Amino acid sequence: MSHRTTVKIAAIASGALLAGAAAGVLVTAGPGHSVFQSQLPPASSKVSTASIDLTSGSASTLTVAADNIIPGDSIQRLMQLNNTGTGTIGNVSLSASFATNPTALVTSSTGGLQFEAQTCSTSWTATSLPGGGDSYSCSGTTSTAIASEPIDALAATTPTPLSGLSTIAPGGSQDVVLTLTLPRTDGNTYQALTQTIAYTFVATQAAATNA
Amino acid sequence: MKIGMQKKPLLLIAGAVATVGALALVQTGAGYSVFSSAQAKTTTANTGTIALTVGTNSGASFSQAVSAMAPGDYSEHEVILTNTGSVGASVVSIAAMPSNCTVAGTSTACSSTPLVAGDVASPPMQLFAQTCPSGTITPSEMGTTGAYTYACSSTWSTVLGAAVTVGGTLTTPTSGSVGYASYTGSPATGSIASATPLTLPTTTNAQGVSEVLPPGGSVDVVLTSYLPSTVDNVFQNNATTLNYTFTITQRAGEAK
Repeated sequence: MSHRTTVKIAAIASGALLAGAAAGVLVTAGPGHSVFQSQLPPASSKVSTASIDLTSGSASTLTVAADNIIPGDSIQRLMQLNNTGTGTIGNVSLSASFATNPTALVTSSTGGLQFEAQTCSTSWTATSLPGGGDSYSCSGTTSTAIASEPIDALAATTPTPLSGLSTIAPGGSQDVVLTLTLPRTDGNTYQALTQTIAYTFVATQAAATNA
Repeated sequence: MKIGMQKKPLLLIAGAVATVGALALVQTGAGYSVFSSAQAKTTTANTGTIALTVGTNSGASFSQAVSAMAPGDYSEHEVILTNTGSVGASVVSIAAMPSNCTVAGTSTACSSTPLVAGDVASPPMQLFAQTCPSGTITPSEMGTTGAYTYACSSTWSTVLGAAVTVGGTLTTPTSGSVGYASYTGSPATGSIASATPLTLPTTTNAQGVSEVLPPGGSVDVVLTSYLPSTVDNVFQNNATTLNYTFTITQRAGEAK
């Protein structure tokens, strides 16, 4: 009985020690004594980072070539910006580049292709064209993401931000229609030219928040 | 035992440092990088062509000269206009300008605006252009002159005016011995000094855009030059070379 009393006192003492340590510390008694013991689980904090991963959605039509265009023709192609990462995309910028030996279609500021990018407040409706491309209409309100400018301007500067673009949450997407127009005033020197334009979209994270 | 109690917190701190490092808010110089991702795509565009070739069915030269015309005579020349380009044409035009003008057997400079303001060396010949849309055109050589006349198996369709006058209002000459002064010609009813469209039937392409000559399409046209029977002696022994220019113009723009 007295032995048990002693043990109780020890138990009270070890409880006090544990409270002070607050980290799950073993308390031992002297040799030959058994004691009560208690251990708190290890404290841990898991921190993982988000990923920003921009991919092209299945609705994208940028790779569809446009054949036999003439002055006055316009080429609309859709880019579906998919956020397949875990972080929110805050901004998307666009730049263009051309292969070696670029033609007047991309080197002339006046006669070259004119570029414009637009978004739609609802969704774009695609209409198939005989040549394999599509034209796009917006049942809502269109917004200019990049105002009309010569395509060479899109290549000559640093990537141009798509203005007015909503943030793209993980799993979300945003459709942008890119339009190229060959000026109606172009003459015969623009006949039979072939030009490939490489677009690079760069997505950056949304502003940091307290997670 | 106390040592063990101290190591645990140390390990936790070390772990926290390592985790922060993995967040990768990497500093570059004075600024900060952010997470980003890029996606590249290419679009290829190629421009089409519009090209016109001129030919004939009969083998007669379009440049065949016409000589010794008298009032009331006419001459016919056939031309087949083909769009050998890759895009359709919406307009086919014709223009005619005189050169090498001769008045009463004497070489004379043509007017700087011969078909508009009038050119004494360019008689008011009338020009017609016709097609045979529902049939075929058959040439017949007239004697051995190399000149041809043409027949339509169906009904002719006039595609250039009912009477377009080649030449403008004749002005009264201030000098000369060919007696122009007595001539008071009628004003021209038209001029084709500049490109004048032929009124050809239109079709629509796959996107509903109007065309008169689709890629590969052609039109067979007979041009008739007519010296009105009303002209008088003032036009004797005159000559001119008419230079015809045929032009096709691309269709309107469309979405591609």
